[in-house]
Amino acid sequence: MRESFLLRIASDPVARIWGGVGDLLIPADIVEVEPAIYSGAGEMLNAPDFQQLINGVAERIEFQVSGITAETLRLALEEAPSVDGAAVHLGRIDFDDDWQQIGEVEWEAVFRADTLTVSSQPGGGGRIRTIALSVGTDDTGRSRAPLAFFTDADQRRRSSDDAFFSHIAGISAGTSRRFGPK
Amino acid sequence: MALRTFHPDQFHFDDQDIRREGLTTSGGPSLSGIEEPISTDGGGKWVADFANGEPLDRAGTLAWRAITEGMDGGATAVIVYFCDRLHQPVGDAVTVPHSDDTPFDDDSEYSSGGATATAAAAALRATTLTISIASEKPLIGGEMFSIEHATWGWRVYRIISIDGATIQFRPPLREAIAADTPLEFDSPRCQMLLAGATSNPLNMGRFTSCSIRFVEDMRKPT
Repeated sequence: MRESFLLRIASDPVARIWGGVGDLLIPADIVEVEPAIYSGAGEMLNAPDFQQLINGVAERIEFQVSGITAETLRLALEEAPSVDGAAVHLGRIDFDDDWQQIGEVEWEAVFRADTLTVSSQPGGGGRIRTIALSVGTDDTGRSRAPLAFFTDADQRRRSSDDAFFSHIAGISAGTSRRFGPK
Repeated sequence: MALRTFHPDQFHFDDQDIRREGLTTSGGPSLSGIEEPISTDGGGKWVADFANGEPLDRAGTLAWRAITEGMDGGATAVIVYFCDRLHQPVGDAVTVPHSDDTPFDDDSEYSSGGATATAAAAALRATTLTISIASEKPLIGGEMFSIEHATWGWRVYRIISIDGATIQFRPPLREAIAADTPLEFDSPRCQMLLAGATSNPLNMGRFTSCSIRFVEDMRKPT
């Protein structure tokens, strides 16, 4: 059993990266209009775990790609504007014992690209430069969660007939109170 | 620009280790202690280690210094010759210079013997080839051969099994090949990059020993 992973970022032009070594030709399918070459060679450093969208929970994950190859630098420099908001497809591909592709690519998840961060840090006798691409599911909002307090006013705004927090205003340190609403 | 070449013969290495390194992902050991790995690297890449070399004289030491400096710490690719003729389907190399003892422009001489092979067309990432070969010794598997690809340059492959005129090899072809592409069995070579640092110690001001490690150059050709 052999498998590998594909990352496709619909920037302009499209960036295609896979987890193996060398070039990989992917046949046309629902994502790729025509057969396309994916480049390998250690450009993808890390693909995170992600959840299948079964319960409809939005999530945000981060891909790490190499920060020195022409293909990925292109993403961070001249194409940065087209990366923002681009569709990001993550696929899985199976190979047989002779490294020949079995069946079509399983496109597992679609995300929307947000921000690119380039980081460079010392390590291993030189510097290591990576590009992190933050992607989210389409429903990931960017607004801050509203402030909420366990006060009577806030609780009644959430649910107008809920008196659970009606005692809160009378509580201070050292007070004991009867359980339940007033 | 033509790439520089690295001939291990020149430096008399005691040990050489040419292998394919890849990456597997494991599912972790199970209750019974069995661990099943899967391969996720798409075939891996070549790594060549040459150790305990000994340039014999002043010219050899200077050649070592020149070629290692020329690699710019791994930024510049070189063509690494594997010089493992004993394990190729060929006999001893016999070469003769011109009658006035001079070689050709590129320092090569007239040679005889060796193997001549061509392959039928094959697609990118193929792992079998149909070949026609005329060699001094029969193929038995385990031999290496090189193909000079149009854009990826010299790449090396190792035969894992033979069935008539069809050979199976690893890693998968780096680039599609056309019909009648020559296969290099006499002197397999591969485009590689220096990995890590090399040393050049000088003992008693005269004797040196050297080791070097290469990895296949998998940067996307431009």
